[in-house]
Amino acid sequence: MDKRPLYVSIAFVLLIAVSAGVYLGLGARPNLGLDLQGGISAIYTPRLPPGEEEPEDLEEIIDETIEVIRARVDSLGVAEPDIARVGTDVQVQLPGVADAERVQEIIGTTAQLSFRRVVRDIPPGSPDYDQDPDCTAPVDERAPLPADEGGILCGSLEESADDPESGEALPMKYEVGPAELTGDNIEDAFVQLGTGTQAFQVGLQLDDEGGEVFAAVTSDLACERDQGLDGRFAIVLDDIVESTPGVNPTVACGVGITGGSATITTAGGLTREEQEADATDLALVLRTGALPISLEASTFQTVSPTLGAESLQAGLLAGLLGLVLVGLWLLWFYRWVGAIAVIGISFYGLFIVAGVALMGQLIGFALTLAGVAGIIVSIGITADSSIIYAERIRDEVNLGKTVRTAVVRAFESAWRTNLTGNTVTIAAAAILYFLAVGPVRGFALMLGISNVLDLFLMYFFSRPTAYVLADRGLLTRRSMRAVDPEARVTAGARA
Amino acid sequence: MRTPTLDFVGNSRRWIAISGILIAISLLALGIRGLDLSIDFVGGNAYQLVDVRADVTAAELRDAATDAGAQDVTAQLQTSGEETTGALVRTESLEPASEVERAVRATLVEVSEAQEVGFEFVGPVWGQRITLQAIEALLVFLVVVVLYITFRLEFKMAAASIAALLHDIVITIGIYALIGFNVSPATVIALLTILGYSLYDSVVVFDRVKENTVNLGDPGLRSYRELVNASLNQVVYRSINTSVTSLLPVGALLVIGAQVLGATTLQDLALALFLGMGVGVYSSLFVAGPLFVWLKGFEPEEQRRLAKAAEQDDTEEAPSTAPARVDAPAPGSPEARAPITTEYVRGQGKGKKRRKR
Repeated sequence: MDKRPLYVSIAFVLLIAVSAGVYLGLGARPNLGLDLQGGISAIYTPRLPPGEEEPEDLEEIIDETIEVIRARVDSLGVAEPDIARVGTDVQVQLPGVADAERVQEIIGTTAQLSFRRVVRDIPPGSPDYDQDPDCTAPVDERAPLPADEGGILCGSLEESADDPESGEALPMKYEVGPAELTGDNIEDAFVQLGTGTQAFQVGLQLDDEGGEVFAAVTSDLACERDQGLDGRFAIVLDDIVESTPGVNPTVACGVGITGGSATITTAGGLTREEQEADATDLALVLRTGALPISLEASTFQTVSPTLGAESLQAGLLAGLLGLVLVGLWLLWFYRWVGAIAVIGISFYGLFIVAGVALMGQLIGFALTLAGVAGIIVSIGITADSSIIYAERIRDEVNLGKTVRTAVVRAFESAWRTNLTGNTVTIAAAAILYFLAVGPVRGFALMLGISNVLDLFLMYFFSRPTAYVLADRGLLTRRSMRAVDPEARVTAGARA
Repeated sequence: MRTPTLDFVGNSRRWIAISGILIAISLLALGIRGLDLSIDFVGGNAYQLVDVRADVTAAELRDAATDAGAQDVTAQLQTSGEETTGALVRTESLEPASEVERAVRATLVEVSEAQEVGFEFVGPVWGQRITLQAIEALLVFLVVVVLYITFRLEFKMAAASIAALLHDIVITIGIYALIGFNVSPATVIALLTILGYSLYDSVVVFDRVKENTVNLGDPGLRSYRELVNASLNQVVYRSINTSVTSLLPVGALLVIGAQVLGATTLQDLALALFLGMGVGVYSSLFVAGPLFVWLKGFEPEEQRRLAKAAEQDDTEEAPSTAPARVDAPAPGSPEARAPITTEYVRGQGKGKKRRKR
């Protein structure tokens, strides 16, 4: 038998182990979930206004709502706020935050949409730009602009202009009038293609009251335009100016846009893709404002940092103790094969910690208490693959085969058994991961990864190591069944 | 080390009786006492008070919370050794940061002099939703597993495995009902893990049975009855060792979790796992195996094999009280080596039959 692939395989696993060790040695640590580091963890479920039907693009509207919330959450000064949509629920994770009242206020408030007239633009660098509000401050800390008052508002960061002095990108500021229309007046907003021009535009459908106001406003704006003024209005979501469209030359002063429907054409000079993206964004902003979804807490949990730290310690201690106990048991019962198993399980521990740390770095994965439990539970599964293998080797040796043949034969059947068993567990983990919410997912993910890792180690580490040990004569008939004194006598008598 | 020669299948009446009694007790306990569901399933608020005044009483906390406007209040003291270190107060579902909720929290902190408060709120509908999702996941999982085991091994093995699994779950839930342990999401996670473990164990047993079927008809393996029994004996060490290595970490989790206040999740999980895995090991050997033999017994071929074996036993004047007793030592045991080894040495034994497969 060619031994080279065996050594290559062992070296391969050792190389990964060393890299994992160095990675952790350099200070890489898993991201900790809220239940381990303290903070607020909550799941919010959207509640539609009474009488509203669930729209088809509910998920996208929730995404837009999340964007609004994210801007507000900045005011909490959280290092890494995690706000994500899970299905149609919104999961909020705020490490290190303890002020439940404030969080509830920030997330529970619905986003407000309004149409206001633009009085004038205040680009960065102009003398008035230094006036309040401070556009770099979090949205929640700026003084809100009441609907019936005019004032200065910040534009969205996407439409920023460079500050001529510092060259820094700052959002535009606009002085605007009081709100003419609110989200309540909008019945629908959608992306459409302009007749003839085939340009992307946003169609807007207003209710009766909104239609009348809109006609009056656009009529005024058209007059302003005819006088050589700007004549634009601002679409404001949650006190941020998202867009400032003007009125078309075809709209006459004194008439305005009548009929309660309008189209907003996106800015010129863009590629078709950019036009489409712009139009989609604006339509979503309008729809989000038109459908004020309120988010209601489904679960809300604050964990004190002390409790979190204690839980983590308990988990780590239990994990280590479990590893040591299992290791001792395997060594005592299976000697050499047990030693392979112990090294295998230690690698498992090393790989999983490094893996979780890496996942934290790459995709922001955070280890929760349930995940820790999943890892600890998997110690047993990892030990089991070694046990099955060891038992099979013993069986084969008992049948009179040489140890060198036995390790190969035994691996074939042990591998098959293990693959079947692990497939069942991996299936369980996958189904749990995709169908369940909350802590169950973290657990399932760890369970699944552990099982895959177990198969990997069995094939690339336990197998070649056992082959090599058997080949070197370290694994002998005697050492394989030295445990049972009776068997030793039988073996001795035959020898 | 020798392979044991225990009679798993022959004594199946005994195991049926044991399992039957356990299941009956579990179902009774479930029917009469019900389960103590945590707020995660029924909705509610929970306040985890840390480092409380040493002489605070549960009644004191309960009254304080009730006075502040909460309903359905339960209070539980948590002790470490002799000392009261914390308390867990549960109320009905109160919107976080609402007026009543803030009052309840402030009062609790005042009365208990707690240094820190962990707070959990679960809305009334949420619990039902996650429960339904868990049941959905369970059903999908069972269907997938039945299909997989049927495809990989045999349908009757899948049926026996699922039966063993239900057996484990019912008994574990029964223990929860009987002792009144709190059922939390961690418990549900643990139950789902037990599913995995229980099936895994059954799969290991049946995989061995399947592997041995090529030798069906050999002495000592004349029928499925004897074949399964021999296979069970072959995997018995593995089963014991696997349970030991699985229970050790979980036991560590249980013991250490009990010492730490915040580690209730770990403790809940470990408890259910410990119970379930224990039952799971028993069921893979004593429930799944014998049940599979029983299912096989309906096949005419197996009846013929059994009849033939019984005839042979009669002519050899074997004691008829134990028809399934493995009178020839199981293959693999040292005793069996004498007649079989020679064939193996010549390379005409099992290996040859294997190649045929």
